[in-house]
Amino acid sequence: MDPLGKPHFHNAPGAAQIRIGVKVFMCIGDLPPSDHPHVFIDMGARDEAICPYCATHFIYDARLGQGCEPPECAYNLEPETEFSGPPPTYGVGEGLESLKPAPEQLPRPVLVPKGGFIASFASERLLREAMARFANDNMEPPRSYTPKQREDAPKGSPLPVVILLAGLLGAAAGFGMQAHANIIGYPLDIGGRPEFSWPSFVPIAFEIGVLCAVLAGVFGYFIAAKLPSLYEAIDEHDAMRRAMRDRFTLAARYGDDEQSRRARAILQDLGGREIEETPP
Amino acid sequence: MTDAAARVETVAATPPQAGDPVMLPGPTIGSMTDRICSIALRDRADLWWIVAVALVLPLFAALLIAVAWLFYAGVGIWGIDWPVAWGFAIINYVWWIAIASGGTFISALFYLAGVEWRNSLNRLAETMTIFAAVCAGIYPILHLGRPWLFYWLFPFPNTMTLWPQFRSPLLWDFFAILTYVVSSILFWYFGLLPDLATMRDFATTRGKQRFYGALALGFRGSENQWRHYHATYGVLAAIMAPLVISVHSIVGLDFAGAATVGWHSTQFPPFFVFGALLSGFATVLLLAIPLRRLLRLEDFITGRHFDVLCKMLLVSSLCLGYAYLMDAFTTFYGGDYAEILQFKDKLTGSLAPIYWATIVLNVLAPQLMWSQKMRLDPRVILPVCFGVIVGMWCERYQIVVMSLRRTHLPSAWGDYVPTVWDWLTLFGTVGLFLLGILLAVRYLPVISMFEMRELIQRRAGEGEGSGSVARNDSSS
Repeated sequence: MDPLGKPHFHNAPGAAQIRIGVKVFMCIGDLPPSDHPHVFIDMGARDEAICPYCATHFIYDARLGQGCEPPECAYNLEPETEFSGPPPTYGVGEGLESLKPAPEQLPRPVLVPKGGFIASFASERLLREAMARFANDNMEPPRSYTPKQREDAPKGSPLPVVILLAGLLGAAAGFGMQAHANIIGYPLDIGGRPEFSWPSFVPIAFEIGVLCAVLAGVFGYFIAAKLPSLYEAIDEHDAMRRAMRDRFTLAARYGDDEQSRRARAILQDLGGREIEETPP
Repeated sequence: MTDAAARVETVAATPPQAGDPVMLPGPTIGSMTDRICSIALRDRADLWWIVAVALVLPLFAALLIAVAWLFYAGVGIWGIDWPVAWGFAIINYVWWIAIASGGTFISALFYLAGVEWRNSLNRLAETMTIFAAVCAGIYPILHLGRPWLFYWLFPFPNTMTLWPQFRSPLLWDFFAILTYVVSSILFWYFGLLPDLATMRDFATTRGKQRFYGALALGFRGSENQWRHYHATYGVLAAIMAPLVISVHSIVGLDFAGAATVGWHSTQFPPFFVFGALLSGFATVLLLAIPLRRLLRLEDFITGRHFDVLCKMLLVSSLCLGYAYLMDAFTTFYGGDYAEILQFKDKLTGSLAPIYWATIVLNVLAPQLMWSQKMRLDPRVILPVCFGVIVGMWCERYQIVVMSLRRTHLPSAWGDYVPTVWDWLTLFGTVGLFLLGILLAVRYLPVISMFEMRELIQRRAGEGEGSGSVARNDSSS
């Protein structure tokens, strides 16, 4: 059970019917990693529903409250159990305890735009294939979130040119400042030596140019990448917790059923995990 | 013990080998990320870290006291006097900035060379750079007779018609260091962005999540963010490489621009760059080898790294040896009597042991690195690198003090006796540097994870992120 949102149920025991005390819930089919996409089900006015994925027959029984019958079909949404790996090899005397999140940080209810998908793949190759299939089907390419740059990603950015221009401007400004200081601002006649002693202006001009270039690069990047952006709606999804770790994630939103169906088919076919979706 | 933990123990027990690849087979993208993050996200620090910080804090305190006393009582508390008006402050400044430069050589220059071995050392090198640059940067302010007027070095608009002396190498140095410190910090932070995002997602407490999340600025790994990131990173590295060379050349010009005996040589800029290369590689080795052992990074820092870094050490040492020879040659070839007298004083005078220590530690000891067996043996590498660091300090001492004390006029000859405040400030900055490194190692990912992912992926073949993760969830 997701303590802050919808209850989740699974049918790993293979029960013919599962009686539940709620009408709005999510079915995950089997236990992870064999779960099907976590599908949202709302019985509405009826007292029963069949999961579109695994055809599990859910029957509403108000007496059960938050529980279910058979009781082992309740699924406790503990993301970290999915994410557990080998205990940290570094360190003495501490196991996974330090890596489990405190209960107050379990994920909040998923607020997804209607008809949205988010799926994560174990390897970049799978992600690339998914993107290729979306392209083949003439569907709008999904957004990707990856822990390293995708090899097939479009490259090219205006930033190098921006950095060059900033550097040149900075160097010119630095050179101009020194020329001004030594010719107009405070000229000194030192043994008749030229006031426009430009060779001695070069090092500082170079350094100022470099400084301007670096500043333009870093802050230009923040502007181009639209950072800081501490919160976006996509962050509500559990899958985003691993987007910068070891999963290659994509997210898309399609307005119509047909495209949603095709997208779902592609994602499932490629074995995407943690596919979450909501009905349009 | 799980398989992974047992594997790490086995790897740790095996010494670095000659044929080691850049990264030992085994880590996957997931396991590498987990390991590096878990080092920084530990709730309780390791005993070695606590002991190290406890040893380093008194040094840092000594620095604070020494600086406070300096600001109160003035530079007279140091041993500087006429003719040796530059003492430890400038020696230490040059020594630190050389160490800092080494980090940038690895992270920027070798990025442009496209070498794979750089990926795991890059973060450590950049961190070393910024703390060493900070240690260096405080000295030009400390050594001013009127440090409260330090801002006059900057060309700020004022009503006094005051301009700094743009023609002076000392002012070039001010701009160079300013640019270098700001650029290094920005480059370091920029390189950290994706890893801070990973730490944010890995964080176990709300506080850590907020801390790393705020620093990560919301980096999510989207296409747009990566596209601009790699473009910018490449160009920044391309800028930092000539910057670091220019900075150390300008530091050399601090000396060469003056007519002081023994300084006025055109070889000083490249000579100082060679010294920076040597100091930098030695310090990276001095930091990487213990950290590799203490943080169990044997998978990522392998025999190949030892081999390459020691070869670089050897190359820089040979370059520096050439510079010393040229120093001798130009002195006698030039025929200036004062220069020859000063040179002879360096070799045979009362401070001769310092000159010979420089030769032995900087040129002779690193020759051990011709042998591959030596290059792979930490018991040889560590003393040689420590010797290089000490030798580089002696070289600076020799350049600053021995030239100033034997000026053109024998009646102006003098000597330099460092005081306790000189020594406290020196060891205090060592404390500051080590404290910075320890904090960075504790709270930040010590290896650049996003760069390691590229390496791992390239290893595993086209796009197969991590073979075992695709098949088996529990091993990730």
